[in-house]
Amino acid sequence: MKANFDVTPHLEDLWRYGRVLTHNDADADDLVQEALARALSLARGYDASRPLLPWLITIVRNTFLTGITRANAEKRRLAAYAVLSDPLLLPSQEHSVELSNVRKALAALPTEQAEVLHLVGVMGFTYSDAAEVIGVPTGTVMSRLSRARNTLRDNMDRSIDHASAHLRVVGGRLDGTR
Amino acid sequence: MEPGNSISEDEINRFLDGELSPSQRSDVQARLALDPRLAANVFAEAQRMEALRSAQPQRLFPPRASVNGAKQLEGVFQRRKVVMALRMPVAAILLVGLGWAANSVTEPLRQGGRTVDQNFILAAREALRVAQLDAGPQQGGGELKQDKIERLVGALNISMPPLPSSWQVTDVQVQPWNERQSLVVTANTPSLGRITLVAAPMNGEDAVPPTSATDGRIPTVYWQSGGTAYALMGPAAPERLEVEAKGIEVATRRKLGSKIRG
Repeated sequence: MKANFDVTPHLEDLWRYGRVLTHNDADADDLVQEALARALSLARGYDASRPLLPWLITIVRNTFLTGITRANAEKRRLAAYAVLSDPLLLPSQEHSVELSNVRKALAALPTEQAEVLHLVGVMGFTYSDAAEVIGVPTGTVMSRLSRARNTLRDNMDRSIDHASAHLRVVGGRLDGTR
Repeated sequence: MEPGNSISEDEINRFLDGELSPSQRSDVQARLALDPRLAANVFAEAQRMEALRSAQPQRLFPPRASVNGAKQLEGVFQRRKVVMALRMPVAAILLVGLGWAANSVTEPLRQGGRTVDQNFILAAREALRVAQLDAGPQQGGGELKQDKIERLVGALNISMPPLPSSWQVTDVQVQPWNERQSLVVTANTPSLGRITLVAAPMNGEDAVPPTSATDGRIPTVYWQSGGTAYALMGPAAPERLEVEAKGIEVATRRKLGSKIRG
């Protein structure tokens, strides 16, 4: 098997994962840069027979857990909730509404659930790969994933109810009666 | 999921995440077909995951610092790749040097093959074949080492700088290399003792300065100049090998420069 050592094509995946952890574009950029610097110092220990992306993802995660970006991310996370409740952000098209809802629902997930959902559901990691990255047993990955799915579904349902409530106000009275 | 349903939540999740074998997957699909309500829930879940993937933010133009970091890391991996690859002809020359006969080479296969590395055996056989070819038709009086180097440099499409005049070349061989061939020169030197220089053709051109391999095995300094990668090995301190390698590397660059100038 020929090893693939191309890092640049993985930058977007690393940034997206960093964004799941930090909830912020700029913090995700900083995290990826810090992680790449760390990866340079760890490159000698990389097992070239294994895929590169999980190795890089693990470094991004460890960098986040030990770095200052984590503290900043918590502050940003609080700010993100303000965005979630902003009714002016209601999109106009049905598809956009769906995407907007899923983004909001994802942003409201606890980080440990969002992370495992991202690794398995978005990036396509196997349970065992995700377990190795996170450093937990496969069973824990599965239970977090299950909770994440339930929370995401509940968040999306609430988001749809919220949007419906706003729609009812239009053309009617504030108590919803005509 | 509904209580009493024969499909567990765990199975549904594994189904959605592609963790089931094809037969298990077919089995779940068959059972879902009998439960339209559950099937609708699973379909909705699959749609949610699809929406999640579609809703991923994009970073089409990552910051320059990230790109630079990625390039630096790729450079480190590339240099490591050169070292790893250069080990193959080194292993081969050691085999030939130790006088392994074809019988010895095939013996591991006859021991059950449980711990045999097939790649290693193939490389060793190739080494033996190339060594035989390398010996070639005997020329009257024997071919001078320097003449052999010049002949092989042309044949192998590699560059070889003039070796230090203090080197007494004792052996010149061609060895298999990444489906091509490399040149292995062994020499006695007054300052470093018996050393080996491997020159191998690479797929692309690059400039990697002399760098010590720090894996604690045979002391090795490697570098790349143009389309040829080099490894200098010997029983000397890496710092001293590096000094010797730098001298050769400078000579390589001069030779390349003179080629370009014509």
